[in-house]
Amino acid sequence: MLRSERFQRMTAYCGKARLDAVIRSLHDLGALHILDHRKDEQADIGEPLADAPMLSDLLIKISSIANFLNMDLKKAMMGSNDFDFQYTKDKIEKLFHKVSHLQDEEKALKETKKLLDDQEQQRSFLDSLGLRPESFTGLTKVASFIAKAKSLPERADIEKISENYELASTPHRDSHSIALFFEADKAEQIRALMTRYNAVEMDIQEGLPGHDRIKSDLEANRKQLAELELKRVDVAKKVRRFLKRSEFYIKQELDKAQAPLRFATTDKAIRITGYIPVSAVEDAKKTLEKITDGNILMEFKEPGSKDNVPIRLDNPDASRPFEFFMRLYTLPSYKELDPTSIMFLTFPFFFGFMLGDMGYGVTTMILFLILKKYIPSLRDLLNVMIAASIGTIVFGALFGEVFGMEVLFGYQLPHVLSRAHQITELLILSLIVGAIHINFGLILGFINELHHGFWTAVNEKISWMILQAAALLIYFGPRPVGYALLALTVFMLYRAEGVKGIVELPSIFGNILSYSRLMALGLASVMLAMIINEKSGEMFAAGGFGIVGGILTILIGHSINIALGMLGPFLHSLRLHYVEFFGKFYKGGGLVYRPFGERRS
Amino acid sequence: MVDVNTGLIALGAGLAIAGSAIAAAIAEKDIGTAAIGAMAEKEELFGKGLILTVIPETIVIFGLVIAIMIIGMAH
Repeated sequence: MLRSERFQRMTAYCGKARLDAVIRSLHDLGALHILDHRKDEQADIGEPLADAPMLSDLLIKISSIANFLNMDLKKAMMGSNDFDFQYTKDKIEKLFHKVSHLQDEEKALKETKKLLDDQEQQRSFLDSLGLRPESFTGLTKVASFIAKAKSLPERADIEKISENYELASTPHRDSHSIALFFEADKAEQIRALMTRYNAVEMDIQEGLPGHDRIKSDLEANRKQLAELELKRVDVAKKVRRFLKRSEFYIKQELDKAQAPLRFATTDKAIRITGYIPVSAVEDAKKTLEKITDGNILMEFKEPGSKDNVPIRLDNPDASRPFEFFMRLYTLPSYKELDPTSIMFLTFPFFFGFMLGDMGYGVTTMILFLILKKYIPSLRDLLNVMIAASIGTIVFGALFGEVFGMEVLFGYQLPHVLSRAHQITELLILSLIVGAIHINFGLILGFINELHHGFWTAVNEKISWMILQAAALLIYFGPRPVGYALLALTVFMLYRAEGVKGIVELPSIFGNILSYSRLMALGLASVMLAMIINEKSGEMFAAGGFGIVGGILTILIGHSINIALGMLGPFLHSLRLHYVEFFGKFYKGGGLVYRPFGERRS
Repeated sequence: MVDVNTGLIALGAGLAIAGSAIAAAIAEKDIGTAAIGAMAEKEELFGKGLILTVIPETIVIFGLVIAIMIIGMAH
C-alpha cells in the first residue's frame, strides 16, 4: 500500500530460431517492461520480423481511409474484440481500393466544378458586354481583346495604331469590362497599348456553352458531389468500428514485429532485458520454458540500487483515485514510499477543514455525483472530489454550519468550534494540524532515508523534529535546555546538508505557519456566506421586489461562494501536500510502467 | 461613529492585506507566465506549474493572519 509494486530484473537468452515464439508469449503475458538495448561492442539490436513492413503499410492505409472518411479514430469505439488477421487484411485492401476510387471520383468532380465555374464567369462577362462568343471566335482577319481594366482606353490612342476597330465597354463594379476588335496584324501593338492601361485579358474558352447549359451542368455536378458525400458518410458509418479495431490489433502486431529492435542480438542468439512484477515471475518462467522446450536461459534478480525500475502504484480500491495526484505531480521513485493512501486521508481532511459547511458539502457532493455519470473520463478526479465533499460535510457538522448559518429556523446548530467567532482557536488548531502533518512527513522522510544509513537519516530528518522541540523549550522554558537542543540541531544539520541546512533552519516554521491557510480560507468562505445571508435577509424584510432580489442574492452569491470554495480549498489542500508535506520526504521522478503487450484502448 | 483609534486599527489591518496581496499578485504573475510558457512546451508540467503558481499565495495568508491579529487589538 505504501510501496509501489515490487519488480525483478529479468534477463533471458535464447536462440534466434525461438525469437518469434518468445515475442508472442511475452506479448500475451503483458507484464514485461522491456529495457531497450543500445548498440554496443558485444551486441547489435535485432532486425524487425519479416511482416513489419506489411503491417506498417496496413496502418498507413487505415489512417488514409480514416482521413478520407473524415474520421477521428481516437474517439471511435472498438465494438467487439473479434479479430482475424487474414480477413482484416483483405477487407482493408478492398476498402482502400474502394476509397481510392471514391477519392478519384471526388477529384474529377471537383475539377469539373472548377471548369464550370470558370465558364460561368466568362459567360456573364460576355453577357455584360452584350457579346456572343460564336460571333468572334474562329475569325482570321479580325482579332479580339476581351479584358478587365481599371480605366477605359482613350480612343485617340487606339486610332494611332489603326482606324479600323470596334470598342465596346461597360462598367463592372470598380473597373470596366472592355471588348476591342481590330485587324489581326495589329495585335502586337494593341496588346502593348493595353498593357499600359493595366488591362487583364480574359481567357475566353472556345465553344463556350450557353448559360442554360452551364447551369444544368453545374446542377448535375452538385448532385453528384452530394451523392458522393452520402456514400462517404455511409461507408464511414459502416467501417468506423472495424477500422478502430483493426488499427488497435495491427498496432499490437506491429509492436511484436518491431520488438527485436529492442533486444540485444548476436549472430545466433538474443538477449531480452526488462523488469517484471514479482507476481508475474512464476508465470513468465513457466510459459517461456514451455514455449521454447526449455531452450531458454532466464535470470531473475532484485533490481540494483542504480536501476531505474518502472513504477506501478499498488493501492487499495478506495484510495486508488488519489493516484491521480501522483501522476499530476511525479510518480514516486522505486525506493520511496508511495503517499497515495496517506493523501486519501489527509486531502479530504484539509479540504473539509477549509470549506467545512454541511450545505456546501451536500451541494458539491450531488454536483460531483451527477458529473461522474456524464463525464466518465474524469472519474478519478471526481471520486477524489466526492471524498473531499464528505470531508466538508463532516467538518460542517463539527463547525455547526449550513450555508454559512449557525442558527437554522431558530434552532442553534450544535458545534464543537464556531469558525466565525473563535478565530484565534481556529488559527491555533490549524497550526497544530500543520505541525502534526509536517512531523508525519519527517517520519516518512526518515524511513525513505534509512537505506542511506541510520545516522544519516537521523541527521537529515529527526534533526528538524528536535529543532521544533528546541523552539518550544526556548519559548516556554527551561531555556538552557532549549538552547542546547538548538545547538545540537545546528550540528546535525551541518553534518547532513552542510551550510545549506543551517541557512534553511527557519523554513520549518514557515512551513508550519503556512497551514494557517486552513483557517484563512475557511474564514473567508464563512464570512462571504454570512454576508450573503445577511444582505438577502435585509431584502426579504423589505418585502415586495426585495423578496425576488433576496432569492437572486442567495442563489448567485452561494453559487459563487461554492465555486470559489471548490477551487481554493482544492488548490491549497494540494499545495499543502505537494510543497509542505512532500518536501519533507518525497523526491519522485519514477518511470511509468509500460509492459510489452499492454492493452491500451 | 467609531473613534479614531479604532479607525487606525482598521486601516492597519487593511494595509496588511493590501500590501501582501499586491506582493503575491506580482509574484504569481511572473510565475504564472513562466508556467504557461513551460506548459506550451510540455503539457505534463500542468501539475507542477499550478503548484508553483500558488506558492506565493502564502504571503497573502500571512497578511490575513496579521490583519486578524491587528483587529484583535481592538477588542
